[in-house]
Amino acid sequence: MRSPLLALFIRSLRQDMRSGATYWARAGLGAFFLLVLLLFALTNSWLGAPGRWFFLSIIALQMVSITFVGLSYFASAIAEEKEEQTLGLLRMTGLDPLSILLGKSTSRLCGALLFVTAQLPFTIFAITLGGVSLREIAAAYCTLLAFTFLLCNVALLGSVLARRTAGAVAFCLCTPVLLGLVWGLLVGAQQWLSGYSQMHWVLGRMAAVIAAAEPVARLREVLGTGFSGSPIGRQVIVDVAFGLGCFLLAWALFERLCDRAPDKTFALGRVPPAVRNKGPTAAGNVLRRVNLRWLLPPRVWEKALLWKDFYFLHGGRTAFVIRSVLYGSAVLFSAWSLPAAGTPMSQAGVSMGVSSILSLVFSIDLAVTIGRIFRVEINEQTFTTLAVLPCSIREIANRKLLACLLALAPGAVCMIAGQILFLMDVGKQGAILFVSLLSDWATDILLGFVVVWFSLHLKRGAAPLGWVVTKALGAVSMGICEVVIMLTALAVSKNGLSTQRMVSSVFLAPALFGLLALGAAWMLRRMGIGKLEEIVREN
Amino acid sequence: METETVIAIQDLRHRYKQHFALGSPASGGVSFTVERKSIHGFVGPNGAGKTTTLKILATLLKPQAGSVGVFGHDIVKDCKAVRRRIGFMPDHFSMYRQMTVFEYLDFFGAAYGLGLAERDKIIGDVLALTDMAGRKDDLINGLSRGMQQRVSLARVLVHDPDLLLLDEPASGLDPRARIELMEILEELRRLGKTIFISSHILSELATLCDHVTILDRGEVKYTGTMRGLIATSDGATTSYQLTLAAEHPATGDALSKLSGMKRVTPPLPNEARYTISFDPAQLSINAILGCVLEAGGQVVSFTEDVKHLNQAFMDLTEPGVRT
Repeated sequence: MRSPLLALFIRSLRQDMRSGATYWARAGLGAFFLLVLLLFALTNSWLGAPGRWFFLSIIALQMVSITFVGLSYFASAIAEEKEEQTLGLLRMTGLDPLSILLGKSTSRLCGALLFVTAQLPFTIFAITLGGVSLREIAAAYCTLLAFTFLLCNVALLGSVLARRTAGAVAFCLCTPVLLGLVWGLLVGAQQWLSGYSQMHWVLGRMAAVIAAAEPVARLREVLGTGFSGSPIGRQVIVDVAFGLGCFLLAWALFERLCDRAPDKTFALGRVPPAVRNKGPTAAGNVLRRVNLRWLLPPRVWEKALLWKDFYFLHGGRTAFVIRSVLYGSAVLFSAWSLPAAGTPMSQAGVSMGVSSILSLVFSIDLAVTIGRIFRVEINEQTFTTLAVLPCSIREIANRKLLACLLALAPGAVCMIAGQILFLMDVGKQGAILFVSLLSDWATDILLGFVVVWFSLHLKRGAAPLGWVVTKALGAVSMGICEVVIMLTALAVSKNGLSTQRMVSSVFLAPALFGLLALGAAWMLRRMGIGKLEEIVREN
Repeated sequence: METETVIAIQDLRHRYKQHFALGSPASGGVSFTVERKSIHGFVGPNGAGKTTTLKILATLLKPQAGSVGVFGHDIVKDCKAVRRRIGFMPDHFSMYRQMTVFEYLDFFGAAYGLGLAERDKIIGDVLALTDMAGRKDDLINGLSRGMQQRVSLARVLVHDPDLLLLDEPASGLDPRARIELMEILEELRRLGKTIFISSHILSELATLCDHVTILDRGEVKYTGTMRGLIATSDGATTSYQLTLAAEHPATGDALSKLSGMKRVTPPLPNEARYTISFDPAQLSINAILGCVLEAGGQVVSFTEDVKHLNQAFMDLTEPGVRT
């Protein structure tokens, strides 16, 4: 008989193996790599060492993918059982904490590691294209695998500590910040205690160990020219050791924390029941005294769905104010304080920085917000009650999207403000860059529909997955558009292209890409409505 | 003037990937009607096709064959008109638990296009009907299951539908909550609503419903009045239960000799209850009672012998699980 310790682990691996989605995802990834490879092969004559560029792009993409997708994938391991209140059932089967941790988390880690290593054959092509060695590829993959191991176990610890997946994700996001703080304290203490040679040495080693855990610096070292070190560097050892430490800590804390069920009444923008009900609770009295009643939603608007989603899904006025303050202060702070502080950047550089950061933050905000609009209804089985309202699924979907846009309005307005600042600062080239910004907007629209589409198919992780897929495919598609435009321009022109005309033709690429993105978004919208109708039929 | 038939289902068939949910090539489709202002029970074993039928009636699922009319509207062509006149309560609790009871009802009222004043009035009415007026500012999440079910029912009523489609409304409720829910449904019938209710709790359906449809493996086994289903009479023979104050063998002998009497089942030891079967064309109830009194029997009760709905259900449906 098989050991009960591994029962859940083996079951999870089997499920993964039997699931068609696993193979589709791997095939999709392979196809994507081939597409990227084709792109770099086409641009072979324009780029020096295309293999290196190809490999750099793939590794950068993997790093972002592991971070974004891994966060939600790993962090939900135990937290999802707590949310669905099924952890007690699992424990009733006699599975001990180690079996549960192995079954819920290590099986996911195995899947992720397999997913990363499955890409290895494609990246070997980089050697053929030139500019990268097998040692560099091995070292880069060791770095990625060790980072995946660390992330998985930090997320597992977060999942054991937190009541909800969101809490576990927040724990993961806070961990590098905390480590950075600890590192700063250690370095400070080391300088302060410079007279004590032994303490100085110990603190220095500790700071070095924490610094070594950071994978980006290691990747920079590996992918820099002339790397000849060992594929298994200090980062790999430190990440694996930290990961193991987190796993052991999660195991030790599991018994104490596994019975914590999430509080279902809490939601951003909602007033606690104590404030609503006039019961004589101390908390209620305090909250009434500070007058939090303004947080209460008003009477239902004529557009009822808009009201419901705005107040009960997207956090209502509270979240709107928080977004306005955060985005607004980002624009104000970055646009005025940086030049005032004597930063050696030009005004255009600052506004470009602001615009880029806002675009990045807005795209993440968009993915997270839009990923919930249908998923929450599906999880809580409330979509059926909406589906019997006297309007079509298409109308319901449109109203829900509108509520999402309303919630995101502060971010969108600030992003546009940042972009206008940028266009004003770049002067004459503004007109050309305007097309590029429009293509960014088209990408964001596509991002929204990709995330919605994933959220209709996946129980969790639609936002990070949709974000990574859209950004990755967007970058590759943009590259293809540029190549196509350049090749077309060269073919049409008999006497060759002047630099000016070549640059202009390359700027046509964002326009073409924008149109393609909008077309894809329209297709996804149609498919999404079809899927919603199917969900209504089946639930 | 509107028809008296609220639901008209004719030769309805629906097939999922692996099996026929409703109707089959061999047996044909599902057909039945539901009359206005009736409470129509819809019973059947698991997998019989009840929820599929309810989903089709609620316009969530398009029928693959056959026709379904609600208030004379075709559910496919006049989907929106049908939705305005029905209230559908699914078999699972699907509520926005972070809302208060009032917000929840207000939201659905607005979603059905009711104005503010109209909403205030109707929400007050449905809260009073469901006895939830005192809890209107409570979060739904803090309510008991029975109260949540009342709120769910109030939500169904908020746009004042003429037809209520209720899928297992009493499942998971404690006996008190169940009885109270049934009382609310009785009240709704008095208010002129037509109720189409699917349930597994047969005893409650027997007292609540005036019509019933029994579905098994996608086929209608019975549709008609509840009385017609549970009565043992086949037209030529009627059965009654006669209970006397004490054992009295002479009464049994006297009844056996009556012309038109078909069978008198003697009582069990220490019981004084006879089951008598007779031809109603030849023998009247008055004549039977007269005979009992003449023989010296003291009548305690004399009631028509009916089958329990459970028995009728077991007789009509087949054992085993659908494959």
